[in-house]
Amino acid sequence: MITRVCILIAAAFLASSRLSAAAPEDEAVAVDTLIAQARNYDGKEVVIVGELVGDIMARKEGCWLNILGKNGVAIGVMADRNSIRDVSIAGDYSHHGDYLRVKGTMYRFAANLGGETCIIAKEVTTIRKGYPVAHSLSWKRLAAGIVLTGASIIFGIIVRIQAGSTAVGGGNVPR
Amino acid sequence: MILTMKTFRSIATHIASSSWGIVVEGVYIVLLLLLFYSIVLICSVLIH
Amino acid sequence: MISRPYPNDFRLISNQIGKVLCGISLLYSIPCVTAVACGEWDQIPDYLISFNACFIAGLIFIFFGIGATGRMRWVHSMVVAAFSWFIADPLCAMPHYLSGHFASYFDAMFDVMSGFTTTGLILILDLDHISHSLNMWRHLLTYVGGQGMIVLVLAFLVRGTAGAYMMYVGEGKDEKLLPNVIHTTRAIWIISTVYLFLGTAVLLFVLEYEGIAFPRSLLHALWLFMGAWSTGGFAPQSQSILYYHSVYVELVTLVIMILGSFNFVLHYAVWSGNPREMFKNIEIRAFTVTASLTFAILACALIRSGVYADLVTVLRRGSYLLISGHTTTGYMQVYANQIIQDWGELATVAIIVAMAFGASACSTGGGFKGLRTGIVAKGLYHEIKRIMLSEDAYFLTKFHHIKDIILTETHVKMAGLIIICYVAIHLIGALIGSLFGYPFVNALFECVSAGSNTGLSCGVTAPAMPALLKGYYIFAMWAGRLEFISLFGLIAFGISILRGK
Repeated sequence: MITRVCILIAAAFLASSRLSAAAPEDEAVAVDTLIAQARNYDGKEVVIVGELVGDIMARKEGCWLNILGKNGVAIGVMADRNSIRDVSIAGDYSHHGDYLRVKGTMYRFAANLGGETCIIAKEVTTIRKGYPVAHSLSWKRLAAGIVLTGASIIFGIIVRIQAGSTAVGGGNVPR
Repeated sequence: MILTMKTFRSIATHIASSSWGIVVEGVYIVLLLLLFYSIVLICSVLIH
Repeated sequence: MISRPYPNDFRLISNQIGKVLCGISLLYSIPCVTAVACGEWDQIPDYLISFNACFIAGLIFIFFGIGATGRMRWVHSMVVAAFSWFIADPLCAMPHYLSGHFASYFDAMFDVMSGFTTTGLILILDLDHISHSLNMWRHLLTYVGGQGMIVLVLAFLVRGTAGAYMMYVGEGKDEKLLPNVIHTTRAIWIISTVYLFLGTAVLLFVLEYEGIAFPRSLLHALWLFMGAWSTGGFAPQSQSILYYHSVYVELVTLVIMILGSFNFVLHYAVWSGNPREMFKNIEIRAFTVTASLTFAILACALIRSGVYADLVTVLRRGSYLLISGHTTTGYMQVYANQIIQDWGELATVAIIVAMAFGASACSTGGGFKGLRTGIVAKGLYHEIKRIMLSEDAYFLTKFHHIKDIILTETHVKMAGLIIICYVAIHLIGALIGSLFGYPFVNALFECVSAGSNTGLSCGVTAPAMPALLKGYYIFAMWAGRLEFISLFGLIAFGISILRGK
């Protein structure tokens, strides 16, 4: 009986630890909440998750990353070069960027970074690797574009002819 | 290509001919920023 | 007696609007080339559809204008200027809407009007994932809007000069750089192009230094220049200038914003060997005084709030946002909610006042304009002096704008009237915002930002905001950009249709 209870407890513990590993977003603060309530989080350790967008900007003091949260708000993260070695794909039109988990200290107005609202990262982990996004050509839109081009040409000719004939025929329209 | 070179040459000529004007405009902006800095200093003295 | 417009009046107007629309349609070639260069093939049909729609619309207007005779009159040119901007708005919103980054076509139209009027308020969704070609289109609209779409058409596409000056005035630029208006519009484009090359080169160097790789650095440099010079405030990323986390980017864009806010007549005078004009001009003096006063209030508010640790940071953050507001650019390096929440109401009021004063007349910027502020200040000085002196004393007050000009009652009356109009649209907007439940300060901030074509936001402008408020902001941006002159013309034309005999 005791053995069975021990096994059950061990299984439950394993399951819970696995669950927490599988869902690192649970402990994360939404980026928009972090910005809206920056005063409450100022100087505190926070965890955020989001997509890396734009560029990885290497500077003397480290690397600047911009992490886009679910609700369309992004925040700057200052990270050590070594901590972002496996981060490589930043999101743009043709890429979905690396989905990252950032653990660090939130600063409402970071004194040593010129008053930036940012997170100074302690740990950056990649939850999901980024990938290229294929944008396929819409044949319907292309066809519509070609049809409209034809219409433009025809209508342009009509306007030209009409304008010419009015000018030749003495286009003084009575008021 | 010729058009591009012509455009670049024309822009370069304009930049060269108006360089003094650009410098004068730059001087005004530098003076304005210095004025702002002195305002910050004065405000800081007044408030503390 | 008011006379009802004749069919020929409509033809004249229709013909000119058609030419403007055809001219605007040619702009689609630039995002199209960008799409090809960046391999965004899927975007090309969108531009093909949009170009043709705009071109056909232009042809329809030209068609209805065939047979027009006689000369353009002031009322015609005012209607052309006002209507061209209004009709170009939905026609230029097509690529925006087709990109799928807008909740509705109305939102896309809001962004286009914001771009054309160099405002910079945005309703776009997921800006960080839009294509390079759409970004090019957004920034191109704001760059062209800064110079003026009619200025563009007059400079490059129209051969005749009949009615050109009146249309040029109708677009809110009432000063000539050269005796000929076509030469004036070309000079405006030369000044803008010279700074486009210089500004983009400097920004490219800075962005490369700050870790953005080529060719993204080149595109960002170009777009940042366009946004700053046109005092439009569009940026390629959702965080605006905050995205770059760079003091150098802030410094360069600050300089470009100030340059963009100068009167083109002043640029031309200084460039053609009259450097003293830079320090004597009434607009520069008015700008220096109003910017210094509002910055002093802002600096006091920031120092008192204690949000920044040192004075250099106060200078960096405060001066950037203030200049961005005063030049009516709208670039931000703080989050929207932080202005009122963390900087405090005094700082907010300082920025509102700066936005309302705005840039120079005949510049890319909006607001009351330095010339009007200066004239009203001189008028006040004149009145005070008149009271102080004996009743039969006769004296003149002068102001310097390229040349010494004697201040007349007409100058003061016209400047005062336009300022009253601006204040009215700001207050009505604030009232509408308040009725929808926004705090008055927030509503006032956002409406002054829209009406003065600034684009700073405290968080009111969002896709979820009420449609009526969006509509009012579109109106405020349009009326503010055209400085009410064309609006008056349009109203006069409307009255003559309804009540004319």
